[in-house]
Amino acid sequence: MALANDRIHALLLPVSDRYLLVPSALVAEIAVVAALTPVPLSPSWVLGAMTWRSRPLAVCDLGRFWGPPATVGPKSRAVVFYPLPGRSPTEFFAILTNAEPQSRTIETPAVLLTDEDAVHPHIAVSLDIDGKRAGIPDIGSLKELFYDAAAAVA
Amino acid sequence: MTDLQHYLELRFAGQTFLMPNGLDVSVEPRENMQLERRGRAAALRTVQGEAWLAYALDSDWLPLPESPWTRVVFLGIGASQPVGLLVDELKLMPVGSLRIEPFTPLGPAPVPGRHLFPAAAVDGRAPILVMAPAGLAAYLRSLGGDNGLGE
Repeated sequence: MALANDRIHALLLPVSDRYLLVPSALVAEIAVVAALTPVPLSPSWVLGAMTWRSRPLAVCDLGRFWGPPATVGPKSRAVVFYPLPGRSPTEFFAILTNAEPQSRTIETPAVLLTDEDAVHPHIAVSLDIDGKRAGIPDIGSLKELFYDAAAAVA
Repeated sequence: MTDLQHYLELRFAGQTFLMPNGLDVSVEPRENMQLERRGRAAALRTVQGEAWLAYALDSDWLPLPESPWTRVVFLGIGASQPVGLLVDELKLMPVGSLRIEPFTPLGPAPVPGRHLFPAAAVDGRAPILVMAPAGLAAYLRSLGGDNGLGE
């Protein structure tokens, strides 16, 4: 499968035993993981809430969907994402990574797609980037996972 | 609508939360309560023949039969079935002393249609979650009174 001939600035996020590949434009900041406040009654993939630039945001462990639960260590980072399309401008969120993300310029169609690896939840497709297996998150699927369409602020 | 003057700072199960101190909230000391378990409720207060149930929660927000509570925060005052949360410590915090910012919990709402933490205070090292009284009341009511653990 080939992609359109484009250059995309992206970040490789080490999450659990693999990588996520996300366009840099989706990422607001790569932050040190601050003190986390547990959010009761949340799913196990929500690690808690942290303060970032004087706002609270949820930090999630997406690696739980394909690996063991993450532990926050000195190399861990919170990759802060801009709000997803259609969400409130305050709805930043963060994904926990094992280490500092790596910057990449992806030149398509020079990437090898390994479709058989695209079966993980919330991963749209997987690529082989410099020998690293990297999944591109399915943004629509993440939006459904993150936001309860029926829930209002009580 | 009355302007909010204070938040209640609640501590229980080693966790701290804030809640708007509105007209539908009332605080009772332990001595005004009956230490009588009813289902999952750990205590109750009888008001005009009606039992107002109150719940102790652990850090996962599961009901406990007992806790070192000192006060009860009743929610839904004026509604048909007020319900209480047992807390270990309680403080009044002036609105002006806190920086409250909106927060959106991720994942499914714990009570159908309602999230419980629509905001957080971001003054300190870690955020302090602000509880939505109506959402909290709905959650506590969902624990059931007479149909829970019932020991």
